[in-house]
Amino acid sequence: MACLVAALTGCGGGSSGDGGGDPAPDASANGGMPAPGGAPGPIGGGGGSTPVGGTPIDGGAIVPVGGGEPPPENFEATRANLRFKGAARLREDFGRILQLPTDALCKELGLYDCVTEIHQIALGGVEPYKANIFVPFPGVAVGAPLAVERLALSGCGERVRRDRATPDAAVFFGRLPVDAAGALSTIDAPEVDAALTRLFREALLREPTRADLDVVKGLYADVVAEGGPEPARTWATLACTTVLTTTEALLF
Amino acid sequence: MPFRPRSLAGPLAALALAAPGPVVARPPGPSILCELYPDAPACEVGLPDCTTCHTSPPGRNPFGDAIAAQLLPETPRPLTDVAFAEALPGVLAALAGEDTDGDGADNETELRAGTNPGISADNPDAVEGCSGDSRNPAWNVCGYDAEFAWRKIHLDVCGRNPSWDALQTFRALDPTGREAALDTALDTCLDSAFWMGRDGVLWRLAHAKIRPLWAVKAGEGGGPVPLADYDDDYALFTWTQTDDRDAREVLTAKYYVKQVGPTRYEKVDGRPDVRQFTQADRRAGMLTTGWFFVINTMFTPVPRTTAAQAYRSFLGLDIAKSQGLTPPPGELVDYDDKGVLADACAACHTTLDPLAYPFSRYWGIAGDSTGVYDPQRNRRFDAADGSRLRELPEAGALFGEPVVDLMDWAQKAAQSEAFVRATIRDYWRHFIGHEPTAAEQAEFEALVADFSTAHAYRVERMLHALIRTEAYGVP
Repeated sequence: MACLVAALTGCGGGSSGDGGGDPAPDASANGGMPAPGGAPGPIGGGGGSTPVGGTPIDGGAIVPVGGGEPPPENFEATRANLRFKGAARLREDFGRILQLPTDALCKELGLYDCVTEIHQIALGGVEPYKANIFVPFPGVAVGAPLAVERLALSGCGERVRRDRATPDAAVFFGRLPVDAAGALSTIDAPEVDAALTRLFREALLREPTRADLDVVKGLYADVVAEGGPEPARTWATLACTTVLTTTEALLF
Repeated sequence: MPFRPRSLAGPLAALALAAPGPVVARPPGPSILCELYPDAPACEVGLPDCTTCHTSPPGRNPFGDAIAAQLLPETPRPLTDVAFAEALPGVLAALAGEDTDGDGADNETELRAGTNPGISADNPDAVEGCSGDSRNPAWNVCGYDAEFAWRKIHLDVCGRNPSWDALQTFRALDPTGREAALDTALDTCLDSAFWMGRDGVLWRLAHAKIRPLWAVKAGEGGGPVPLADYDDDYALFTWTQTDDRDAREVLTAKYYVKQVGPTRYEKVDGRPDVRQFTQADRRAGMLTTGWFFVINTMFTPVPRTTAAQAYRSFLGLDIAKSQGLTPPPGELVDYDDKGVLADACAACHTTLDPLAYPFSRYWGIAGDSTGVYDPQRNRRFDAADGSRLRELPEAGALFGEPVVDLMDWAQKAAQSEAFVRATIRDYWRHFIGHEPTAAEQAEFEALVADFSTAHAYRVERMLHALIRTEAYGVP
């Protein structure tokens, strides 16, 4: 989860004041901005949000799958006002991306909502009624990366489970070429690219680059090497988690 | 710009006539500073607050220390206000070129930029302009980017980005269509549960104003010691901030509001719809809910905490941070023997105590009398609570001007610029993520100016203007 750690540990001070603002990462002087469709960068940084602390996973060419002019490595923004989405936005947006009810995203012990009941404060939220925390703490909590990863991993696991259970109603991963042992017949199948493209479009609102696809597909070799059961399912869950925990997905 | 002191004949004459007694805080200081720096941002909209020179009066920051060191050093303390006012301009002039807080900007530059010359972390940080064409091929980082703003509206007000398909539809629009789409997205999201539902954005803005505490909540989902129901406070706040409603009613409403659905609220008159006991003609919005008196007044005869919370929450003035110290004329009286006349205390209590007197006729924790207006309440305490409580007036002061009671207090507060600023600041922080910077100040001031005129105190109208600021829409 280098992408997640890079996204959040690069977030320093940036007090949000005392009125319900959001934890603010410490954007660099030239403030990198997430790129919209047509000018993407690689996962974890590059054109996405490099100045905030992301380190590109791969050093491949940054070229949109559909072609086009490669963008510069760093984008300049005069405002440099990147912020962590925080608890409430993350819960809503993950629910939208994964097309899951927000209360189905993640429950600790199967009982307690990960965001509203357990990790609210770590994710930059508040707990006014019992803990008397009326405004978010400034900056981003050290536990935020773990909480974000927990939320994304759980939500992605549930999405993959539903996609596999009802392929006709699948959102992302219903058409993967999976054999009887639960392995992908090939990671280079067009169905894989199609699934990842849908995921990138909804999660990051842009087309993936070839480098993006190569990085995420490269995870599959690691999953297979670990030797666990149903590598296709594990890979799909981790691919989804990887995209949802990029700087592009977590900051706005 | 060279430093040119202006004539101080006017203010000095006024000070001489007023001839107030010596106190630790120096109320003339801000007005004298504004005579010298009339174009300083803090002077264009009122007077600089005490933190320009002080940490917490009488404590001083480095700029205040530098002034104190040069201000009539041979004269015994405390200085009279007249002596202080005569000497201060020269000291300010002498210090104009110095950098007392060591942040690289001299004091005059900081004052003119609207930053604090006594706080090193606060210094001019103007956004650098774009040099030539934007080097970003996707976002327009040198100007307002409608797609950038449109996506942020979805996140800030609906809590979620638009879908990929919706984005493609937006991109197919011409510039006029995109302009309209911004308003449509905002209006749609302003009706969402993420914005106005339980624990939505508006509730989160209200938390620090209401300061809920489940253990003593009454009503639905109440705690073990039910004293009052703060759900009524959240509902009233949400009501006043939504649709085409006057935000001033947060301080002046004679009615209550109940939440009747995830995004539905209804206006009610009082019992039995809500468990509130304040007489209808003595209600002042969120200042007179049962919860506000329970959590702030509790059992105190002089409800300073209540007044300070109202001042902080709805007018943006935190006395604990030396903000809004505007003592009225007249002598401070220690009605409840709390020692407020001591110099170090009087600096704040000359403002706070008159602010609190109008709240003194409302009961705090008192069962079915909670929030009830009782003109004789001050006479129902023991002498042990204060030897002069029977003399405690209901009339007090707000912004240094007299108010006859809490109704008057609330009306004047709702009409004030401080209320407008505090209201807009709440939303600015949500949408922009930080306090207005020096570079953003002009846009913030425009919103302040329009709120009471073009926007007729309607929050949603103001938000349509806020999303079109460069602070919001320039990547």
